[in-house]
Amino acid sequence: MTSVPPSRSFAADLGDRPEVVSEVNSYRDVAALDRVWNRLESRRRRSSGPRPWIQAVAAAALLCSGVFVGMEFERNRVGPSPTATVASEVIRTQNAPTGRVTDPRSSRVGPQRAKQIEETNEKRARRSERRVARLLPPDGLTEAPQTEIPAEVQAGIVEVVVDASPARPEWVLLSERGEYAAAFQRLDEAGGFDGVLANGSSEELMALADVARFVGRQGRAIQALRAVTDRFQGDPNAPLAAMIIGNLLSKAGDAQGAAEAYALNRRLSPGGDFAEDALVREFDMAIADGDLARVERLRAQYEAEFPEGRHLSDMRAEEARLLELSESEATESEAGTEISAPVEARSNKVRSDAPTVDDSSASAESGSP
Amino acid sequence: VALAEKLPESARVLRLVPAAEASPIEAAHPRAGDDLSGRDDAELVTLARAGQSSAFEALYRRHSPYALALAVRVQGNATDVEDIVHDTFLKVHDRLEDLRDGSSFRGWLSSVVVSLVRTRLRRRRFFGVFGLGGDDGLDLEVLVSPDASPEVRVQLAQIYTTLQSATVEQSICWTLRFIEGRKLEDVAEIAGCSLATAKRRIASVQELLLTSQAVLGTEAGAERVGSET
Repeated sequence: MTSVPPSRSFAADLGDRPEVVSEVNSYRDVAALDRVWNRLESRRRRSSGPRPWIQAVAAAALLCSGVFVGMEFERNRVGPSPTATVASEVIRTQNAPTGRVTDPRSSRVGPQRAKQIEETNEKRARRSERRVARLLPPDGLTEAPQTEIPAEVQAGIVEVVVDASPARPEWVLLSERGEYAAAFQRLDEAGGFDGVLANGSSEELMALADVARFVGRQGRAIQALRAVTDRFQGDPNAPLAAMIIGNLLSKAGDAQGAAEAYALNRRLSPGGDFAEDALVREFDMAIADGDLARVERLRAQYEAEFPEGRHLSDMRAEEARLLELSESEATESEAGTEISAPVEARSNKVRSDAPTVDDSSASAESGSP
Repeated sequence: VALAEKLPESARVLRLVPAAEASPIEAAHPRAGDDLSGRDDAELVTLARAGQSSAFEALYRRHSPYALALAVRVQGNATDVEDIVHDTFLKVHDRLEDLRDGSSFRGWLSSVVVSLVRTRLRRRRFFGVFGLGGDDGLDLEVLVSPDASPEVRVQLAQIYTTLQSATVEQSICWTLRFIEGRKLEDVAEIAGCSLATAKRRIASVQELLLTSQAVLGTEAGAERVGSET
């Protein structure tokens, strides 16, 4: 088996040991050996611990318990009471009879859009209810700490909140429930009618006008509405307030004042949903006054702004009739009473067709009895 | 017999031995902190098998310098020797049950060290073929005694250079035989080969050294080479 040739066979130990190999050093490195031992020790400790799958299960259990504790803590920290209060208030506000009148968007949109908004708001309210229900503990709503509303809930309800501040006056809440007489009596607690008139917000002034109208104080109502149009011209309630002023003055027989109010509505909200109706009402007021020049101007304006308007033919007929009467008046001295009847008839027709906020519709919308 | 009858049933399987023959309990189960350095390898292996970590540490403290030096001498440098020692004792710890005779711990440890060095050298040479790494070269600073003369350093460098031209197995056998001073039987056991194979490998390296005329005494080497040719 040996590969060494017989002629070259060495001694039994396969030859001489080179002398120089005795000089080979014996390498020593105590620090390296200590490091190696530390590595061995750490590895031994790891291997003597629980098995890897037990460690994984324990870690997962620890993570789940941490998440659970965190959720419980967050649920307790959020506190359901203010959320429930605000959310329910929002929902109640939307469902209240006066909701459409106090909703700022209702003055800018048509009936179809208003219906869509109402449906959307109902859906949002239901979502908010569900969110609130998820956040609520099973009991003890009133004992929950008073803290901020979580962002998640705010995102869901912020658009439907009209005025959900917890410090709302009692009379406002009563008016939104349709209890106008009681609201009027409670006005004194809030500084009286004049106090609210001087310092109230646009929403409060609109509510104040509702209260005054439904207790028969039309003048006071107009005062409140005037305050809205004067002090809050950029507010979405201002065009609605101008429209209601026009209706109240028209009903009171102040055609000039009503026409000015309708004109104000169109100025405040040129492209608004009430613009066409306000223009037609202003035209009616001009017909009632027998102001042919204003009639022609308003008819031309209507024709330009609403070329497909449904009142255009009636307006042309009224204008032609007024023109004819004016011409005949020139020849006959008495013509003023002859135009009143047909104008009044068309005017009533316009009111009934309009999508609006006259007294009767406002009453229905505001939930008045 | 009377005593055995008085014992409970579960204790009757115990073998009763005279007190003089009984080994003290402390010997079998030393307390933590006991000095184990005086015990021989066989006892330490037994204790380490029983889970006594201090016994294994004692084995490590006793034999790790040798393992480290062996790895350096066989390899020719100190590259990665820390990892080799670590892996050696890790393997020893895991396979301690396989050691039949505790007194031969050092030989067994040597074979593990040599096996790991051989694996590493083979890997380095394999990757060296593709230009990826290759041999680490000699490190005379760790190999040669600081007191050695320059001539000796040169001769040792020539020896290790010649070893690098041999196969890994040949250089290991030669190193174990002539540098470590092991018997041929030990060389064969540590190298994991038969005695004949160990002899053949050593002879091959010797022939290389003679041919290179580097060592073995220049005159004798030259005579032998000349007579063979």
